[in-house]
Amino acid sequence: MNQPHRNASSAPLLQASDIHVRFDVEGEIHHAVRGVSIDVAEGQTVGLVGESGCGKTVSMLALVGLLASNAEVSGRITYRGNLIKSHAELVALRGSTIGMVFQDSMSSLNPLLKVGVQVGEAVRRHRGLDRKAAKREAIRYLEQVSLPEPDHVYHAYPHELSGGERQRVMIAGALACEPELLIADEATTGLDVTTQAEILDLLSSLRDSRGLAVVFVSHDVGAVAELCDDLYVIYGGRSVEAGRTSEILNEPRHPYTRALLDALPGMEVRDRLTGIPGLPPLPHAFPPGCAFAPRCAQAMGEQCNEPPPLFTMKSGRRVECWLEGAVTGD
Amino acid sequence: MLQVFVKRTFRGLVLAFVAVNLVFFVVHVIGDPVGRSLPLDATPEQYAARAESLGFDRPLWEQYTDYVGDVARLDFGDSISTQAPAMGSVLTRFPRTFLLVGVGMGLTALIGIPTGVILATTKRRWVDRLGNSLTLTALSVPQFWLGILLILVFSLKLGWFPTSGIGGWKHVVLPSIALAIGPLGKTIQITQVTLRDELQKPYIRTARAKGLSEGRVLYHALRNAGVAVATVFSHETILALAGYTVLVETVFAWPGIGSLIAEAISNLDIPLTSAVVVAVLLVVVVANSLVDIMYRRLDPRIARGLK
Repeated sequence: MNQPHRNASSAPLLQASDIHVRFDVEGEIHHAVRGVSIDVAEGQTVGLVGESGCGKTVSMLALVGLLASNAEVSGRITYRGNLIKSHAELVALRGSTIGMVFQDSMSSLNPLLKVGVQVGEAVRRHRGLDRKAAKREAIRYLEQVSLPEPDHVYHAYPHELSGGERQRVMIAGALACEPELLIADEATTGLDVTTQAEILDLLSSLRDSRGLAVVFVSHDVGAVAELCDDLYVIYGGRSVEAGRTSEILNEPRHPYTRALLDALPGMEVRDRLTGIPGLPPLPHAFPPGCAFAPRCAQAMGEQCNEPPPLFTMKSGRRVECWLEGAVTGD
Repeated sequence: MLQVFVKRTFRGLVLAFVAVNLVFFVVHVIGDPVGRSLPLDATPEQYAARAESLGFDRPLWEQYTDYVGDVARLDFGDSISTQAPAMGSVLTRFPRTFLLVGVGMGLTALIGIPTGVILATTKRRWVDRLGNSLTLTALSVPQFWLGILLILVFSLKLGWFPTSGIGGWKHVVLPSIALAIGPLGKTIQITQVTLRDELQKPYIRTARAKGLSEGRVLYHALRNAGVAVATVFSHETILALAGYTVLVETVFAWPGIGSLIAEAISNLDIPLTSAVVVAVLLVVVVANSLVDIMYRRLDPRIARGLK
């Protein structure tokens, strides 16, 4: 199921650099994303991990222009080398180019429409098929996400399906637009572990069979890391460490990455769960320098009150931490 | 479904029985129906004769059993004040109220729902503000006052519409506007508020992420706002059908069921009041059942008893 070193074609599909998102909350500016850069190559699988509220979802929503109207997005986004110059161009990418699957399939599907209709409407929109043809296609997509009796499921309403089935329906809806890139935003959160594994299995087999590029957004490193070619560790609205998944898992450099990996439950019974002390900072109260410094076991005092420098290692791995300078001397 | 129907019919019958009893006792306790049907200067002899002819001289118990028996056979007798068959008056009057309510609520739906949609989706602050103040005005205008104002302006001053009474389509315009104003305010408000709410929900984000057109996204939200809008709308319709039109009917001298209720009660006319009450009850019970069926169509979760 996991092929971390697949030979993904290296042609860049989506390149987002220096993305900033500011929310205007009743006149107060919340700077939720502060310069995140993400590259996704064709057919590549990328993971965005970090605690809840660190800006993962917000950065992804910014990429498809799905943020609320009080959000201001800046930065540079190119798709297949074409610079996206306006919100309208961003909106045009939705569905047919970039698909999204969301958390909480109960509220993310319309409760009053048959699930088949919710899959079929995407087909109608993007391929201009009539009602009947769209229905046939919808059933085909429901079959592709391994739903049993797709003809029957077509007529079901979301509340009549299980959480796992609903999540499959949502994936079918995204696939029906025939995207090149699929963003799975906490797509398995809230499902039980078995179902979670099934959904991840489904997503990776779809990725392989269709050559889809996939971005997994998750607070659960353990769940998605093994599927991802590249990993971005997001904290305080910045990507604090980014690089090949295998390298990061073998040798995490940023103290936050280490803390995140240490917090994973191990297989041995003696293991006590080690949490990360403290809470992630809120977007309106990010510390001036390194956002992780207040919780960091290796904080170096005064220095950490300044924005940390970016170190790019030979392998392309990027780490934002004062320790890198101290340890490696660069 | 059949079970629901049986339950409803039974509940309707119980309600009708209670209402018919109330009519009888209230009229006998608070009033003097015989005196009310005679001129003020009637002699005691005339009074006694009238009481005998109407059967009011018999023991109360006998009157009661006769009355309930007749009503049970749907025989309401003749109106005390007009001597005409009571159910006959009801049957001539009800269609006129249906017409008034039909046109009024039709206007409400045609204007109210689109206006609510515009107010919920507009990004222009001035549209929002203007809409909200108009809605508030619609909500707070008293029906009878608006009726008089409409007559003053459009009948007396401009002469576009007749002042009152029934006749051609022109007679319907002003009273149905006066009737629609309150429901219109409520319909706009509920459409705006629920739609705005629905548009914030995660399924809307999913719809947008699929690249659907804004029209289709709006359809998603409208389907969900529909239940709340339908609730308010049908509530207003049923109120109007139950005789809430009395003010408008009085101002425009519109001989519908509302003014019939008012006449029957002020004359302590037991046969007529009972006929009206039973007819209104029937209409309300039927309308409520239709509303229930509509809910089931609007929300599959209701049909399966999940909500």
